[in-house]
Amino acid sequence: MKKIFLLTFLALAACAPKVEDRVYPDPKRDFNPRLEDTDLRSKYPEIYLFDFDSSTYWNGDTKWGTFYRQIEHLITIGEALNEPKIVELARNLLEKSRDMSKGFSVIDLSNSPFAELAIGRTEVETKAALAQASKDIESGKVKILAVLESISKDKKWPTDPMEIEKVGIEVEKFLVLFRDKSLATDVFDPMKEEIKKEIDIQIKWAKDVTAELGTVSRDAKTLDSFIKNVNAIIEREKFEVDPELLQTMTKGKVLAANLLQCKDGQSALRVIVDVWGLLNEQEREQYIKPVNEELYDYLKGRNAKQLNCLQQDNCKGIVRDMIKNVFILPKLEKYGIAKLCQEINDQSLDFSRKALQSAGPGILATLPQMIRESMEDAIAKKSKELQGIQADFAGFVKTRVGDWSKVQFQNPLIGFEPDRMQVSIQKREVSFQPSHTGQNTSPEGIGAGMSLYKKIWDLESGNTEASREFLLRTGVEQVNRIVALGGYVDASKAQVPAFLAPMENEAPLLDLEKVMDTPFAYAVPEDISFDRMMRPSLDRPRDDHSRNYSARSTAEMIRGLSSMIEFFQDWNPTSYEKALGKIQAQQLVPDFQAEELNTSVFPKGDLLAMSLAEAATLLQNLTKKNSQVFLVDLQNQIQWASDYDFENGETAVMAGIVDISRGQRTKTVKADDVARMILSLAKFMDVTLDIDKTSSELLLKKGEDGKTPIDSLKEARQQIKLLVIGLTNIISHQFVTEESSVAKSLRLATLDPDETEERSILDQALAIRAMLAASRVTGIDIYRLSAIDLYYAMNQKFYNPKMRFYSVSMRTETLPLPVVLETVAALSELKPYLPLDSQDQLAWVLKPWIDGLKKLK
Amino acid sequence: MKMKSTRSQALQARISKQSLCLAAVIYCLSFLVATSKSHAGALDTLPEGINSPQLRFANVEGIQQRYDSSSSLLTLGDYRSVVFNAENLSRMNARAQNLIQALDRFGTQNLGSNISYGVFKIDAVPQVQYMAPVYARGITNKWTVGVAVPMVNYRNNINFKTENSNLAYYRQQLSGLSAELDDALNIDLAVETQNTLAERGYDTLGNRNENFMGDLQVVSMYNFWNSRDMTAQYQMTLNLPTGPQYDSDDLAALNIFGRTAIENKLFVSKVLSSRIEAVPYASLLLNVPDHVTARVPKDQDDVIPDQTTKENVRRHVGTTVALGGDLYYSLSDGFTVNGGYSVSEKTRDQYSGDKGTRYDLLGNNTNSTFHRVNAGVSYSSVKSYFKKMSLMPAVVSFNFSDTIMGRNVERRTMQELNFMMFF
Repeated sequence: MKKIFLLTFLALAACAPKVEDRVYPDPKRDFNPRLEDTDLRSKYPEIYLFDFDSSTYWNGDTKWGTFYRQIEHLITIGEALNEPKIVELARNLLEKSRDMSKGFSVIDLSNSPFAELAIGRTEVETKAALAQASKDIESGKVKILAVLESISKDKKWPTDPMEIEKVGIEVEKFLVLFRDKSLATDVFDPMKEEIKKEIDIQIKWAKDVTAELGTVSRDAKTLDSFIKNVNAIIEREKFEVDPELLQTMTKGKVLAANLLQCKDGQSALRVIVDVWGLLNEQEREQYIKPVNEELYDYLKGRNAKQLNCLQQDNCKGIVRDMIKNVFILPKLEKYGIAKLCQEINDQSLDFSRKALQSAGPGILATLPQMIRESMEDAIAKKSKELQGIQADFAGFVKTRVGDWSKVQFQNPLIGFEPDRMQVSIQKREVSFQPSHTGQNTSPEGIGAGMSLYKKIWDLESGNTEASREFLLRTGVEQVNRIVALGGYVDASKAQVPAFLAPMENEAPLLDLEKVMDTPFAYAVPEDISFDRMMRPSLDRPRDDHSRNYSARSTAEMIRGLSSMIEFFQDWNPTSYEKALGKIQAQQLVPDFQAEELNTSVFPKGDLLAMSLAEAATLLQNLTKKNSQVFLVDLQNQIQWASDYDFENGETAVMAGIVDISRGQRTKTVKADDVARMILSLAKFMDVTLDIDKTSSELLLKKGEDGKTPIDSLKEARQQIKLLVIGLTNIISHQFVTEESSVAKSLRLATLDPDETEERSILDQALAIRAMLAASRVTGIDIYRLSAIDLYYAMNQKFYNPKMRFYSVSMRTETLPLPVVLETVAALSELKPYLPLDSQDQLAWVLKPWIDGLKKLK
Repeated sequence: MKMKSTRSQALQARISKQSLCLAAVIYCLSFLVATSKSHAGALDTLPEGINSPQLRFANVEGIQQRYDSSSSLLTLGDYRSVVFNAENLSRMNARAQNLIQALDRFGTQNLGSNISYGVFKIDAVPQVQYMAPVYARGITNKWTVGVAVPMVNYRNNINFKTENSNLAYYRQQLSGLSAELDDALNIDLAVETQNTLAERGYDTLGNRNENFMGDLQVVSMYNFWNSRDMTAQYQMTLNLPTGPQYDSDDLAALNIFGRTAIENKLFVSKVLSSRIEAVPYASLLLNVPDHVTARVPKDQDDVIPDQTTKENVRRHVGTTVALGGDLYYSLSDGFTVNGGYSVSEKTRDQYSGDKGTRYDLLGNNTNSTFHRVNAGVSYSSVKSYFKKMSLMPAVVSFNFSDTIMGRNVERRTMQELNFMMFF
């Protein structure tokens, strides 16, 4: 029975069905490159290496923008691969290029856009301030003089002779009282400060001078030393001495000199006559009569001529000789010449001391008047000075800026570089020549230059031996460009047109303060001409070839201005602090001491706002009429950004950018344009990430809608991010061919790659850099993986073992140095994201090229 | 990139099928009088004038597992799961297709084609218990008639679960780019399911615990041939539509009641020895066509038809043919054990209507095959009663049955306790 049960249960158990676990496909959670790297060293065990000189060339006409980018690439490569020699090469090449004569436009700082802007912006305000200051000074003067009058009236000055130090103390007391009473009035603050400063100086001076006079007076042993020292003080301090005193002092000097010669009767007589001349009748009776009454009587009856004759040895006369020889000289000798001279010295010294003490009350009595006159003089002088500045403010500023500039810079500043230059490499030495001397420049060069100099400043500011002059000079040069780009009202109140010119003829000139509100587009046309003041020759492009706007230039301008925004980030210490930050207005006008002048000549926040407004102008163009940007929906339909409905339009997943040639959009989209635009926008996103930390008043000022420019920018950042994604999508999807390489261009009509154009390594390199940048600012790793895929495809298909480099055509050819640099820079940026084996291989690929670069001069 | 309705549709399609599956599970109830034999002689009918009240308790479990169309036994969660990968999403909805196409343009990694919202599972644990009072009476010694009124308790714990999704990566990469994309990447499939159901007029899916009366059954058993060691019996069961009617708005409804059906069953009992008896049988279940209000899918992808698709359709539930047999072993006068096996084949349900819509889609996956085994033990006091050894004639039996193989059918594991009295 048990067996039956057991068997039954076993049978049931055996029959019991088993539940199967359904196996689900495991979705990708960790994306990796689609391709694998190629082991080039195994694939090409024997390779031939072109000599670096044979592999690259760079001769002939090139754009300054291209040149600047190559210098920047050298720095990028040098830093990424820790090769200081390459960084040094970049620095040297830039310096060499700046030495190129006749290539650049030059400008004096005093006539530069920055000075004109500064004058234009500050003139009205400053003049008004000066006019007000004049009024305040006049009104203050009345009040201060009333104070002086008041305390003078109540003051009881001592009338008895006094020690000269006590005079000083009295002066100090009076001045302190005057100062304190003056400060208690409601005169305007700068005047109070000036009064306080001045009176404190005077108090100290009075104390010092009276103390010194007192010392001189006490320490003098002879009349001569007394007079000499007192006279020195009078001359040093430029005391005004009244004629009577002056005459007395003159006589005193003679007496002192004669006293030094007082050795015999005749010299003693000479001294006595001198003393006689110095004394009045009463004093003569008091001092001389008791000593020698006969002499007194004799001298009393003599006139000046006779007295003078008595002093001379050779002044003959029978009677006079007899009296002199019989009655005077013997008596003098009898009295003792030495004793007599000493007594006269002592008496005259005592007399002088008393005279000095007697002068005290007189000095004190005239003190209020002296102060009054002194004040009126000072105020009149200041008022005249202020009026002079008001009358010619521009001249005043220009003079001061010019003076300062001469001290700072030995040579004039560079204005703009021309559009093109001649470059050549011979025997590994890079040399430059100007292409022409015309006054034309290009936005590409301006933008690339700004970006390069920012990089250079960062390098130099970390170098303690860096040339302060170089930092300041190049910093000021770039500031001038920023000002010129945005336009300004100059010293003569004329509107100087911006290089960012209206793209439509009916549009007004650019007003940077209204950038966020204007419906019009503004851009820098290609090949724009300018005058010697860095002003555009035309205020707007005409309907001819000047209506050309290349995508590359737009991108480079945005990139350059983004670098300037980074340079002027006022929430971060940047290389600005070393280059421009220490220059204060006070340095330009050292004779005007004012708190207000302790501000930067190149205000960081204002220049940040200006750079940002100019970049915003270009970015806003992307959605305005004549936009260079198009959007692509899921059906590959193209719509220009100016026509796109950003609220309710079809979902756009890709975007591109084209040139505008003679006012018309071109029909092709170039990969390098798209890539450069991504790089520029990414840079802009990077540098404005923390923009809400700014304290720039211009950027925090609320508009009519209650929004600040920062608010608008933060909203725009999201749109820019989407644009970066759209652009990266088109380059990583539409441009990428079945061979996993980037096509050179797309036909706009179909968005198909133009197969007639040969792909280039440059485009692959740019696409790699662009995808890395897009990945950084969007946080989308896929773009980084796509960049790695492109690199793996390059290794798989384009590595030419004979060149030991990449060649899309696989021809063994000589490559332009810019292509090599762009590629090496891109791969250097990519290197840290590769697996270690691939990094090792890439280092092997790059090594001969890095070695070659290090040998360039 | 608005994906909500798309995903929900697919989910609800599965839920819809679930209710159908449950219907098949509960189908066993329709045989509650006829098939639950307890041994007294396996095909014994009641003597003339004898009444037999009975009370049956049954618990049906294991219906959270189902044999799919390839006869694999899956949990209902797996069976009803929907893999929301790019391929499926593309088929479901143009907007989803747009999303995938858009994401495919991000780089070279086919981001869109690799997206997976994961596997959406509806974990349902349905359980049915019934208590059926039965009354049978011997009309003659060969003919017994009975009637059963099943009282059903239906419970179902329904949980939604999403797993195996790679959306976290997509969210991490793409969040904040646009509100539309954020919405698409942050969908809670369970919530969206309920929202979509509500939008389309369905009842909210949730746990169930409800009691109702099932279809009333009238059974006639007639022994038409008897010999010393063999008996043949014809059994007819009439199922009357007293239970709940078909509800097209309730995706978790059983929808197996409210039907009129006749089952014809032929048993033969062969006594193999004094203790062993074999009972092979064959049956044919015929459903009477009726009319119900159903939601007719517009097409293959219209997996959760909206209210506008409601239509009064003619329904003809498929015919079931079964062959099987039981072996009884008498342990003593009172105790018997039995075991058996049956195989059943059900044809596809047929729907038709006047609007010419896709009625065929209603019958998808309704043809089924299932193989069941059963075992039981019973105690009868009939013999001992006649020997005056027990107070009353009665039978107590316990039966266990399970589906060991099948196609398009739920596994069901049933335990049934039956108490019969005679007077």
